[in-house]
Amino acid sequence: MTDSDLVSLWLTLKLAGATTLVLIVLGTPLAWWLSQRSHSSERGWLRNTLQNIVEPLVALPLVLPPTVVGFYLLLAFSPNNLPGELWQSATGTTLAFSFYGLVVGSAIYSLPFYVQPLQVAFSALQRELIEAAATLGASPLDRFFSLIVPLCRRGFIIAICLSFAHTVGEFGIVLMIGGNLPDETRVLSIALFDHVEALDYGKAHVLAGGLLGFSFVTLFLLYAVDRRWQNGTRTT
Amino acid sequence: MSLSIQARVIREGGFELNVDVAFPDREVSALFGASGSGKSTILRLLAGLDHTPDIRVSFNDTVWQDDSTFVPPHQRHIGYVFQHLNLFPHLSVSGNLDYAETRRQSGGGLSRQDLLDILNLSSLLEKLPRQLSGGEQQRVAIARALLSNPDLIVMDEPLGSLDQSAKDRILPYLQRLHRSLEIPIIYVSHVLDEILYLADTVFEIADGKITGQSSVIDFSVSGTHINQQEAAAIVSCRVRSENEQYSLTELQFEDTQLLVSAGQLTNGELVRVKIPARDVSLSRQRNESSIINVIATTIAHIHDPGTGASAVVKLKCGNQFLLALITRKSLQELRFEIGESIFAQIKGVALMTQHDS
Amino acid sequence: MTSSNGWIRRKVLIAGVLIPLFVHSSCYADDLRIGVASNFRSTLEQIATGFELAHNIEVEVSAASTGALFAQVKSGAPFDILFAADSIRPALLESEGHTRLRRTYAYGQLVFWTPGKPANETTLKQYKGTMAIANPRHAPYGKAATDTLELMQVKSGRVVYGTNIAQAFNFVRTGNAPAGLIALSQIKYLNVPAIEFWVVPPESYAPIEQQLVVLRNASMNAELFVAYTFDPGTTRLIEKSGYLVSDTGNQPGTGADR
Repeated sequence: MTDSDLVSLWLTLKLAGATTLVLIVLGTPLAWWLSQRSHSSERGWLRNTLQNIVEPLVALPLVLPPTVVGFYLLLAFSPNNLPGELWQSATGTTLAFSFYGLVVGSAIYSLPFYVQPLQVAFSALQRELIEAAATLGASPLDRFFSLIVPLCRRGFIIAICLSFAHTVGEFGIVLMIGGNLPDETRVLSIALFDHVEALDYGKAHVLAGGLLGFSFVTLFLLYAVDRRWQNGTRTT
Repeated sequence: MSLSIQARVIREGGFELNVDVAFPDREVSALFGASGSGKSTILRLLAGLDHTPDIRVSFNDTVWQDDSTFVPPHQRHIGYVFQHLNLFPHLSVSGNLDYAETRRQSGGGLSRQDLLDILNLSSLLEKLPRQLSGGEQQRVAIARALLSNPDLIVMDEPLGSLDQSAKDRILPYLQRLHRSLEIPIIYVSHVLDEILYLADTVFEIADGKITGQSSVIDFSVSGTHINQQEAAAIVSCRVRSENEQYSLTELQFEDTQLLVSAGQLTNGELVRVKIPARDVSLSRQRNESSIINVIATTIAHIHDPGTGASAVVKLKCGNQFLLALITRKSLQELRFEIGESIFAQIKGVALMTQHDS
Repeated sequence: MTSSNGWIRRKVLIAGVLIPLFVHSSCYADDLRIGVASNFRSTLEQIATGFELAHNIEVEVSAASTGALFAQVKSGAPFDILFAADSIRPALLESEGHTRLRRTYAYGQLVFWTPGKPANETTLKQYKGTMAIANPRHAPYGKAATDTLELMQVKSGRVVYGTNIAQAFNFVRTGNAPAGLIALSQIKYLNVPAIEFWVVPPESYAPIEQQLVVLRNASMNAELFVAYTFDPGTTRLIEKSGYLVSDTGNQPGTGADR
């Protein structure tokens, strides 16, 4: 591995870590909100309608080509348009070609990988457990950390691993909004693409094989954890 | 009156709850009614688990809910025991108890050790919920609810998910608890037996409305449920003396005596006794018989349902009543009449209130 | 591969062309399949239309990046002619024996573009902001851009790379980069006002040589198409599209017919 590939590796891990953190902070409440369907038809109407709209929105990156997201982000990040203009007046830089821009893009693109497993875990929670905790004096935040997080730890682990791994594998959006800056936006998948385009198959093999191995090991461990957990809850 | 609720709630499907209840202090108030009559809804509104508008709940001068106030459930200090087993599955028994204990907001009440003793949990502490039987889990759940040192306990069919033998074992624990606590308990059930066993005051509920409020003594001998096989009269007696030779205790019941096989009672103490209707037979003469409790009564009322095998005769003895479950055939042949004096032969007498041993 | 067995090779070659014809009935011996680098696509489509009218031979055009086309040819894609955006990959194909003709058909021209602002040599030399160029590691326009920046001693803020010249163009067009060194052909295609761009003098960078190759197994009509490409009428069209074409068609690196 060359020095510049090592820089790309570090950058990739940093991007995946930052994206996962952003998703933990923003995606967790979103998954919770989506998992709480209202059963009273009158007052829950607005909420349910909103959920019916937001749920497919969250899932969109699963079916959209990354180029669609990349294209719209490129337009949104432009200082000619409002979001890019606001960012530029606040920070003096553009979101495109920056690490923060990649975090925004990756967070959007990995959103379903984080939100969906969690939403499933939250929906499967036994409502009475949470109500019992409430009557025992636990505030909503207390209930979340003392009860919901440990009960949904499997969902959290899957969500975190998937969004981390998916961000490591992210290519299309980064290609479209990154600008290929070493230290800032040239992540592994882009470096690999460069090697291939420059016909440098030797270096390409190192990165491609590495990414393949990483993704396999991640998924292998994830399935192993999942199996053990399920066995663990079935028997003592 | 410490706890009161006024609610008029209309649910989807047309169910309407319309109640205005004030529960007595330091007693077990039972809500008795069929499934779907609105019992659980009342409990959930009391605890703030359902935030339904236009209701009013207050407890000891504190408004828990009205048009401008809503105290969330975690600030109401209610010990809630649910019908379904709901221990926290990732925590051991002692972890579950810790969860409640670390969040209690005031001292006093029963200590952890008291609860472990009363509910017989000491040997279960290290186990996980899934390693426990249903009855054991529910005992832990009750201990957990009480460990938060609540100002009020509500129990929503706490025995509902248990089998009969587990129920029989857990009921005495509940009764012991009741006498160790000085806070109101709201107990919801559709099982007559549990109500007779535990309640002081009974609120009958049907179709979302309170249809009756009475002491358990009055409740036990009136209403449509006296035709059930489990019907029993609850009577109040005073302890007189112990007969050590036969291990029997003599109770003063109105102006006659009942012998029961329970010891270690204090002379002069008031106790409650349950006399199942099916254990009472009627006779016009005082026969020579193996039955030791035979008392003179007057027929107050005859409940002949008109169909089926059995009928219930309500007997007056002093100011209290007994029930006798007899066959309709006997009723026809013996031609009992209201006001007639008759001997009640009582095979089974169960003492409801016992001292802690 | 030596020249002594060239004749035998050609016999084998003919068999190689004919046999697939029986398998792929949709392909006619007369049709031409041409792979073209994306930046030359619209120009080539116009050339192909003219050729079809003149010779009554159908032409099928597939556009992709030069790298993708290169990989496709190596794995046996049945192209007759490849219009690449560089000269490196055509030379590679030739050295590996995949071709029977290699020739430069156009030279790309680099322009400095600043949308909404006048562009000229001075504004380029004084430019300080973000500059979009194609990736110099594998895109000829990118290499030309870095040559230019170095020669003119431009100290721009940061240089962002598009994977290819089209992406660099899009960075500028969407406003994410205020300026870029891009292709004249793109400027022509978009009808950019003349004041906004400045054509960098070709001496400032190594030529952006775009070569075509006729593939080894190509139809005999391929050479006909190549000849049409170098027809004066066609070269005028290529020049109008923003490229330079040498008068003789004998630029350095032009391969010989075998």
